[in-house]
Formats: sequence, C-alpha cells, structure tokens
Amino acid sequence: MSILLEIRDYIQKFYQKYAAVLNVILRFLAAFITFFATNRVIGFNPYLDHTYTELVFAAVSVVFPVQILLFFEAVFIILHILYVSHYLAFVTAIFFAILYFVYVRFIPKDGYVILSMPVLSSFGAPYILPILLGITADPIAIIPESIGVIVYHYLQNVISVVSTSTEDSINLYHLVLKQTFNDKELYITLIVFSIVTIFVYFIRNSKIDYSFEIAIISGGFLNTILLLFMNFFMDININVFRFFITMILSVAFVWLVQLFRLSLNYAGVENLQFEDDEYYYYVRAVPKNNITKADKNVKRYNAHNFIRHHDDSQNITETNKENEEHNDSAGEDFDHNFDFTVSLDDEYINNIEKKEK
Amino acid sequence: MVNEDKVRIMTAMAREEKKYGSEITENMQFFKKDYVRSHVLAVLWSYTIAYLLLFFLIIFYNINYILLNFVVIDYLTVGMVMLFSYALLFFLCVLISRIHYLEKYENEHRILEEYYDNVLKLKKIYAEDGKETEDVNTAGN
Repeated sequence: MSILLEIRDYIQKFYQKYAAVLNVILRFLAAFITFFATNRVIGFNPYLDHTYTELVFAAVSVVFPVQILLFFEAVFIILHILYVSHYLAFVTAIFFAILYFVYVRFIPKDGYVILSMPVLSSFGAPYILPILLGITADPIAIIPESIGVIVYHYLQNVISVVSTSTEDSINLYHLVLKQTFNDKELYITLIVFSIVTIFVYFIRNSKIDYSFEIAIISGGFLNTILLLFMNFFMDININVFRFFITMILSVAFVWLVQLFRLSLNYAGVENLQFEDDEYYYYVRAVPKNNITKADKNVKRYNAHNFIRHHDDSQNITETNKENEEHNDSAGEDFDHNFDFTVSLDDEYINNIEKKEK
Repeated sequence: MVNEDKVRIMTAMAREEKKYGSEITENMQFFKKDYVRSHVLAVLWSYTIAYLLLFFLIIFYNINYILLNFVVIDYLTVGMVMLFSYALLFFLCVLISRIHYLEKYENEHRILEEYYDNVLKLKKIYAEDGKETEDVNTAGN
C-alpha cells in the first residue's frame, strides 16, 4: 500500500512539474482513443478508418478548446454513417443536434460522460462508468450516463441495420428506431447502471470506515448480480466469462482511480464535538494518507581532522603515515574518530549545500 | 520580507479566479432581473429549436403516411397537440430555469462579495506598505 502511495506521490510531483506538456499529451491521447474506438465500433468509411486519420483528428482537436472534441466526434460518427446511408446520417445529425440544444449546451462537462460510455463500451468495459460516477459524482450523473447508453445502443442498432440492408431508403430510419425502442438490452442497461450509481453514491456517503472501498466492491457485486439476473430471465446473451473478467478489471480500475484521488487513513479517525453561538457540531475527521518518500543520502562525517588542524599546542611535521597513526590514536584516546550517517531528503541536502556556498 | 497575509489573500483570490474564471465577474455586471431573464431566454431558444428538430424527426419518420394521406389528416388536432405540448414545454422551461438561475445568481453574488472583500484587504495592505495613495476606506473603490 505504501508503495502505491509513493508511486502516487511521484506521479503527482511529476505532473505538477510538467503540467503544461502533459496536459497537451493527455488531451491528444484522449482524442486519439475516442476516434480509435469510433473506428473500431463503426468503421464504415474506409477513408476515415486509418490510424493516420485518427492521429490527424486528434492533433487538430488539441489545437482547439477542450469542448470541440465532442463536436469532432459527432462529425466523425456522421461521416462514417454518411458513407453507407444519407438518410441515417441526416437523422443522426439531427439527433446529436437535439442532444446538444437540450443538454450539452448547458452542462458541457457532462458531454464527456456521454462520450465516455460508447468509448468504454467499445473496449468492453462499460461497467467502469456507473461505479466511477457513484464514487465521484452525484446521483444526477445518471442523466448523462443514460444518454451515453442510449447513444451507444442507437449506434449499435445503426450498425446492425446497415449491415443487413441492401438499399439506402427511409425504411432504414424506421428499422433503426424500431430496433432501438424494442432493444431489451438498452432498458436493462439503463436500469442496472442507474441502480448501481445510486447505490454506490449512498454507500460512499455513509459514515462508516472504508466507505469508498466498500462502495466500489459492493457496486461491482450489485452490478454483477443484477446483470446475471437479467441475463437469466430476459435472455440478453451475455458472455459470462468475459463479463466476470471485465467486471473484476473495472472494479480494480475504479479502486486505483480512487486511490489516486483520495486515500484516507481510517486508523487515525477523530470524532469531535464542539459548539458555537448558532450550532452544535458533530465532526468526524479522517486524515489523508500522505507519504513522502525519504530519498536516503548517506554522508559520512569524520571529526578527527578537524581536531588536528585546530590543535595549536602541537607543532608536528608529519608524513602521511604519521598522519594516519595520529588519526588512529586520536580516535582511540579521545573518541573523536567517529562516523555517522545522515538520512536527509535531497531537497534539504541541496538547501544546506547552497547555504554553505 | 514576504508579507504572509498578502500571500494568503492573493492565493485565495487566484484560486477563486481559476475556479470560476471570468464568467462570474461578467455575470455580476447584470442586475438580477436582467441576468435571470437573459438566461431564461437562452434556455427557451435552445428548447424551441430542439422541439422543432424533434417535430421534424417525427414528421420524417411518418413521411410516407403523411404523403399518402395528405388530404385527410386532421391538421387541427395535430396543431392543437403541437401547441399544447409546446406550451407545456415553455412553462416548464421558464419555471425550472428561473429557479436555477436565481439560485446561481445568489451563489455567484456571495462568492464575488468574498472576492471583493479580499481585494479591499489587499488594497489596505498595499496602503500600509506605502504603495497605495488612494483612500482605501471608500466603498466600492
């Protein structure tokens, strides 16, 4: 555990040092992963389904403000669909426009939650999101989460309809909409993810020790049980082995995110009570786990040379050999020949050396 | 010699500026009524456009039926349904957005008051250091 905290500390210091460069790199990576996932899921247009296209789009999105990634992703998806069906591309464009005017325009940050659901689903790990939102956000995060689920299932239905049809007509629109409204997996995912998010939120807000960790693990369990239950009764064809592996990895990932975000030391909990003119306070203070890695730097201090140079009563001309003998005898007689080691942080040692200069 | 109080105040101000940005100072240039009305109007415009787009999607979905039964469709009923649904949407938009932006204005006003308190404290410190010659007790200066 302390090793993880040390790694966290190192990463935080590294990020603070190179924040400007790292922000650009991380934005580029996030954009690249988004376009890569889109090509993986949809990938109709052969001109867009190349790594260099993903790189170019990612590079361009870094130049513009952060919110422009959502716009580029919407355009990317529409261009893919336009290659196979003009009607569906038009309908998808209007669908995204409605989404923007109704929701994303007022809460732009939730646009990333909406975007992350299809991206995570394309990598087979959508279960990360409900647990992560339960830990980091309010229950209102269910709204963008649900919109993300709907967008993903809509795109999946577009892919399945386009793959099986031979002509581009308005019937494709009818088929996609009917399939989306009749998609059992969509409703089950919406219900299960909403329940998990709310459950995790209430557990992590409770006044018990290790509430965050308990919330993450119990959220994973609840997600598993509900989806298996639904799979049994509603027959939605989940690959159980892959599902278990993905769920375990999702829980581990969220736990790691939580460790980096906030690590608490429940051994040092303090319960306090005090009052002022207006209120009586019941306070529970949980200290954070902060650890600074001691960079051990061993320096040896030997005092007998110092004693010899300052002994004015002796006028001795010595050779190196005599010097050594004197040093040895000095160590035996006066106990000045001592060695000790000092362990200090690099920062302290540098400060001391600067002052000495 | 670094003045710790000054650094503390400036750090708090920088933190507020970074968190809220220039949006909060821009918003506070408005009176409460103007602020709320402008934002409610923006919400109404967005939802009106979204409603029209949704209506267009519905028409597009039923285009075959509409073209085949163009003459026999009861346009009055369709119009009434559209009107009432839009009126309901209008009412809900105004109600919810008004409550939301009123609360937001109060919140931002409180944050900005704390920010300006810090500005005045900083001005006093500068005056004590001999770097400020204006009367720092003038309110709003």
